[in-house]
Amino acid sequence: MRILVVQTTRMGDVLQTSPLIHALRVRHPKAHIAVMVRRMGKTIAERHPDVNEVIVYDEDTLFLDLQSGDSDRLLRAYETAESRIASLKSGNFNIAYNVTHSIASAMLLKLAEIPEVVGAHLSDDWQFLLRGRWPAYFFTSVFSRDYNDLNLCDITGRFEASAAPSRELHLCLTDEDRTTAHQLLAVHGIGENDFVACLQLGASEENKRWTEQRFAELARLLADRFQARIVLVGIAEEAPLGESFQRHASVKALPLFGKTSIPQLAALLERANVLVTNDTGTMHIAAAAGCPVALVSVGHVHYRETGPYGAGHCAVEWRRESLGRSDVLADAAGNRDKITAEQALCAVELAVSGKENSGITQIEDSPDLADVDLYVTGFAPDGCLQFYPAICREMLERDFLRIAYRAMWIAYLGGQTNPELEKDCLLAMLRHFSGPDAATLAQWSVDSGSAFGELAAMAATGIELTNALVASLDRGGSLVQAKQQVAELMALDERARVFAEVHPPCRPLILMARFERDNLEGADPLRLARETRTIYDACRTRAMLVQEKLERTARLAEELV
Amino acid sequence: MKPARDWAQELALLPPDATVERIQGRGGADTLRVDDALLHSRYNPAEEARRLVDAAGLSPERPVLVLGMGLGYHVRELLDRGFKVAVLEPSFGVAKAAFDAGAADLDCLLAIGGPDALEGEAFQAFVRTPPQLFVHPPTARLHPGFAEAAAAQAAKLSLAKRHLNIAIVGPLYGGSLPITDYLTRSFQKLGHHTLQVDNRVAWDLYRESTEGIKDQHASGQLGQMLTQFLSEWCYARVAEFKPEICIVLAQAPVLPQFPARLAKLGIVTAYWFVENWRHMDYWKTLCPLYDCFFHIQPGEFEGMLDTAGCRHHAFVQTGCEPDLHRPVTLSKADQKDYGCALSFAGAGYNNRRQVFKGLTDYDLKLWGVNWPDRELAGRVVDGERRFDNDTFMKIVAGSKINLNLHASTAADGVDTLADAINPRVFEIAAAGGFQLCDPCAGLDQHFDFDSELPVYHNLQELRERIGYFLDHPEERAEFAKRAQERAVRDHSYERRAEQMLDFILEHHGATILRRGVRVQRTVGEVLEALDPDSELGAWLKTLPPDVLFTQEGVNAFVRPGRAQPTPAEKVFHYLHEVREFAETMLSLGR
Repeated sequence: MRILVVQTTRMGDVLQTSPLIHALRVRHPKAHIAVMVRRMGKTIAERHPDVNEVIVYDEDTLFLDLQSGDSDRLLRAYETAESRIASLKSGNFNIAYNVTHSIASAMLLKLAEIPEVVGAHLSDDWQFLLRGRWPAYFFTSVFSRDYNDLNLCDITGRFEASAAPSRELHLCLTDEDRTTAHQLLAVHGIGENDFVACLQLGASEENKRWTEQRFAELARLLADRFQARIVLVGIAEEAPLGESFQRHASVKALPLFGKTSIPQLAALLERANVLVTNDTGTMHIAAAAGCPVALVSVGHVHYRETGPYGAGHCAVEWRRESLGRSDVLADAAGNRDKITAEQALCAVELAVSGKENSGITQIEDSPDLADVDLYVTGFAPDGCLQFYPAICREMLERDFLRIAYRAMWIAYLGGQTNPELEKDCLLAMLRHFSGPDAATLAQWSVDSGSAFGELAAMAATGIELTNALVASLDRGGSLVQAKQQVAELMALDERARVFAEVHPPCRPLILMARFERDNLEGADPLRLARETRTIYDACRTRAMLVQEKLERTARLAEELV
Repeated sequence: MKPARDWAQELALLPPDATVERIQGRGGADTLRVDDALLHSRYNPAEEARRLVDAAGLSPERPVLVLGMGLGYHVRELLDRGFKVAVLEPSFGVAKAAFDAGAADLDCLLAIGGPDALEGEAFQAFVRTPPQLFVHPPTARLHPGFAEAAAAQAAKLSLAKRHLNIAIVGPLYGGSLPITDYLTRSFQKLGHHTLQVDNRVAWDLYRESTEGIKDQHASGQLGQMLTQFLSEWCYARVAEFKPEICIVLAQAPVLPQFPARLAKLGIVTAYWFVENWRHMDYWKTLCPLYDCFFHIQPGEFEGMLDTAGCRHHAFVQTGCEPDLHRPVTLSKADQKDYGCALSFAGAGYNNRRQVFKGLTDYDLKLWGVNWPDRELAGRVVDGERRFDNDTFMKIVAGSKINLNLHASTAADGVDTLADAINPRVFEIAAAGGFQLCDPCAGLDQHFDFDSELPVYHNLQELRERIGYFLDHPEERAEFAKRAQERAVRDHSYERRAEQMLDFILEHHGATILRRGVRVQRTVGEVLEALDPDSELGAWLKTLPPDVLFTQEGVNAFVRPGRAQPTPAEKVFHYLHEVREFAETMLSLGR
């Protein structure tokens, strides 16, 4: 068995794919597992104990050649692509797991003639397709983040459905890495018993960065609260952020920008007491190294989806109405410094105590925390990561919907329901909220439930129409009649889409159904009609499941109240 | 130029050069002393070579032309780093000393002598990928001017037959606007890849913002703001196109810092001042800012450009575009509209009005604007309007004699100081028209007055010539034919474009080489270097050979949706997606 895992995005994404790789190893102990990554992910992939081969996908050089508009460089790009395809072909992979959204990656796998692809791939007629329930969820969840409660590690980790998911990120460190990291601290006078707080000031986008001034204020608080020694970590290009930090800071920090390799950074974080960070690759390295993470989530990020994987981490975020879509940049630059240093300190305290207490502790609400949300991570009984509220507050309707949605997806995507386990999950989450009252819960359940009921009814109409279409095609009915039936189906789809626009909670289901329709392969009308019927059936099942989970969530919440 | 080892025998036969002395350095390695100057470090020449190569910032993808060999330490360092290398060494004595010290084993090309030693097939093959230059500083110091001359020669040989990328920035309006179009077409005809930044799209807005506002302060400010905006727009377009050369036409709305910003991108800039310097003085500010400054008035102006600090300037005359300036056949209706004995098409400057008032006893027709005189009122066709090139060609075709008179606001007749030849001279000639013109200074360098383009010095002489040539239609036709042949052969914008390029490459070719040329080959040229039976070769054979082998060029022929795309088409489709994805990620800032 030869397996290829394709993860050609960022370094942090490679780490987030590490649970999938481990799951594959558990499922196929003797398989040859190769991972294709960009150069920035090479070291991470090499340090995964379950990886046999790392293939570097040097897309940056290829892109620069293409962008140059130079004939000789285009020829070189062509030759590079040709040799990359040949090299993948010669790898004789039986299956590829494509954890990348791009059409280019799907094309590459098609050109390499890999017989089976999970995730993004191309049909024989070169249409972009997704295979598998979890991959479809992976691709659609980014468009409706308000209702997604699952971490990417849990989603992609289940691309291999038959293996037990791994609950950790995988990154091997050596004694040498640890020695180097400890020596690095020692030469700067940081002893074994010092409280080390690492700060990661940078992020891939400016709008994702908490300001250096705020970091500097937090450093003062950390020094006061923990007598912390402050270490600035990051790549060499982030050094100017460190200089800006120092201009604002009243405590001296140790700048280590570009001074460590990735494994040395991981070893440093393993030694550290906490990492305060924006949404970055360093955050995932810390999570892999077991360092408590205090994530200051600003800008265009969704910590539930991409936050630190593992128990006991904390995220602090400015309260906001909607999370938006991951593929559309929000103008969040003005919000970068809204979270105060004192509020971030709460996140640090929660993360530090989370490691010490190995449980979810809630803190008292206070006016100082009124405009932020704080969450602490833990693994729910369903095995997936959960961000539990760290302050006991009244539940909002969007929380209620998200919790029910999670239960639905776990049941639907996992293909089975364990009512007791589900109950434990729901209760574990609901206990972190106070209220609302029973009447409000009932109202939410009825209001949203009826919308999902209507959606289920529309799906049922779709099933009837496709049944008629299948019957008509089966008996060789007239083409005119079939066209009329297809037109009715299209009108129904449009009605459902508009319905979801009016009832936003239904959008994830409509989106999923649309993706499934886009994924239909081949040109045989009868087969297409049958598969379309299956899609309506699945949509109806999911709508009814959400309805059921809403009712159950409301009932359990009411019991708790 | 030939492989270094092939020089061994020839150099061995040469007597030692008394001025060249090989001495042992303090670190043990040899160095050379030439005329009391050391060509390498006395302590650690190999380490010095490493530092020199490091500091050169060379791209590993392009070959290196080394100017100055010395004992070859730096050449060896470059070869060790995997560069393809050719060397030009000015001194046979130094080359002999290097070979005596073991340089014969250097796996590179070598030419010995002046810049002309580069010529030949070996160097042409070497520069198939444009090389980068590595100047050995002690050699350059020892031979003043050698490095510059050799770099210019290398650039000329490397870039002469290459398709370059050239941006041309035009004005919003006015006489230099059609010249922008002609120049762009000409560079294209020469095989270059062009971008015309066409500011005419902003003309209506500019006019509304300036002439449309009565408050002069407000309209001035708006005009400035729009110019600033257009300058940014021009910069963004040119920067995105990434040309080797950017040529700006007179009156283009770019700010003075425009060329400096392009220079930071390694783009060579040129300005074509197709204006009379006596009428417009903004050249004083602009001419030192551009790498090359082209103008249309030789003589006095050139001295003034020197004084103004202009580094490289050249006289480049306007011309004709034979595809557009060509004879046309008139319909009967056109014949009625355009047929006449004498015509003039252009603006009614003072001297023209005064002269043409003395021709009203002929069948005279005038086109264009600013003809307010009562005496000429009945002669103006189509009433005070500008005319396009198609109309101009009909005017030329319909007139027995096309009058030309260089404009002057000061003179009442022929301007004896005129030295800015107007484009009309070349355009009428190329269109096969018979023309009588005033003898603008320098015109005799472009046409023979006795056989191609007869001239007049005053109204009386003009009338005599008109009388003679109206009576001698065969002679008119012969003059016109010869002038047409001359114009098309010598005075096309294609020739002007070549002239500009030669000048730019001579003075700034090394800059282009340093930055690296975006190589543009046609599919046919790429095919020559490919196995025709390879997947790529087989597919490229199905494409028109003159299509540019760029992603944009070949993607137009990729049809992934069809039943059986070829393997090469699939790869190009994949490459298209790679670029799309990366550009999307970049636009999202990820």
